[in-house]
Amino acid sequence: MKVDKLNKELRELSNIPGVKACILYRLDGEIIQVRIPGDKNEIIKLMKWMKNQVKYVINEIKKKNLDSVDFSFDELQVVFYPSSQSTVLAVVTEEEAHRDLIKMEAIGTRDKVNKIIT
Amino acid sequence: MSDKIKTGVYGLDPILGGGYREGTVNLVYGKTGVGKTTFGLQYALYGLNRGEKVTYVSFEMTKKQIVKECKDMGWDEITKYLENNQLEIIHEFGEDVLFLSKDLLKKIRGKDKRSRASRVIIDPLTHLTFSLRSKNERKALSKFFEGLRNISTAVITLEERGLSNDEDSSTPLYLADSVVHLENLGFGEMYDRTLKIIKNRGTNHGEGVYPIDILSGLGLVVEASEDQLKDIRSHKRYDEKFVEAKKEVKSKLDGEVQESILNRLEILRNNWTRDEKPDKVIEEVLRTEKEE
Repeated sequence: MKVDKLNKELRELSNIPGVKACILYRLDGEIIQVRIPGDKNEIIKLMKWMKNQVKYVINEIKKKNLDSVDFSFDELQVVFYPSSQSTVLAVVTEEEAHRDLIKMEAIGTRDKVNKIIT
Repeated sequence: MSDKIKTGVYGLDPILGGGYREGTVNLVYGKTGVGKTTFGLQYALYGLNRGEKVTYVSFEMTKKQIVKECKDMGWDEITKYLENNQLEIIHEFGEDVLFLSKDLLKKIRGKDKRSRASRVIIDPLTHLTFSLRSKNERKALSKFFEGLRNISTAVITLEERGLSNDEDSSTPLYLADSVVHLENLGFGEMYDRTLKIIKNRGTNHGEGVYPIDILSGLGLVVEASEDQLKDIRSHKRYDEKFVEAKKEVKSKLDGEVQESILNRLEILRNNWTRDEKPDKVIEEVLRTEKEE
């Protein structure tokens, strides 16, 4: 089933050391799939903020033709990757994470997600 | 799970927690073209194919249109059920019905118990909820729902209005026992057509957004991942924790309190879906209940 394939892709990405959460959002802010490998409480507050950003981020991505939009916090970083016309993949990483490696993997996941859902 | 009323919508019952509870009013709401009528027809046909009686109250489509809709989906058996009176279609123009009257409930109730339908579908109730401004009108709707619960297990479809339209404030979602929201964003992608369970009273249900398809021959098909299903299914992994807790309740509490807590723990055991142990919850229950 397509939903299982999607789940598998997100699980693999979330298993990379340093990844705190992978969330696939629909453009209205609805969470389609979410993987949080560790402490959920740490991410929940951030998820609420991310939900409110999704529409804005998708608009900015479309308007400026961006590959991704990054936000940095004290200990966490959030990167949004457009995965289709109506979805965006958000990846949360910790400060010490190998961000370039994660970005490369996230782009691969984003492309696979796009294939599954479009 | 076995005593639940199956919806007939493929893939929905597992995420609804087994289906609808008997004697409940269940809303399906969404904008035009999302599949509300198809949902209602699937619910009807699931029962009809198992020998149940069904009453379909249509405030929009005529009997002829409903039959055509079914035949277009490949559900030709509808004709047979109309001929043998297993299915009754009551058609009224929604615009002509200004208020929920007892007459409608009487019509649905039928002449006697033998002719009473176990499944009732009202498609859509929208017109009747337009003018629910006064307390009495809302009370009438509440009574109507109660009447339906006494007759059958009902599915009611409701047109979702735009959020800016204040008529939406009269949408009686709070009166229903369960609410399913259907959406179609219109991008043609997998998560454009989706289903979300807003509530299903007294049941552990899925909380995600599930992609749906409308397939010829089948109707609505809901897709949930194995992980999403696992989150809803109860497991017996921590049964020994509940057994220990029950022993403690029996030794430390008496009478009605003991009976009530044992019952609660049993319900909790039957519905425990989490990966983590129930220790903390059990500890809290025991601590609170032992307090004088």
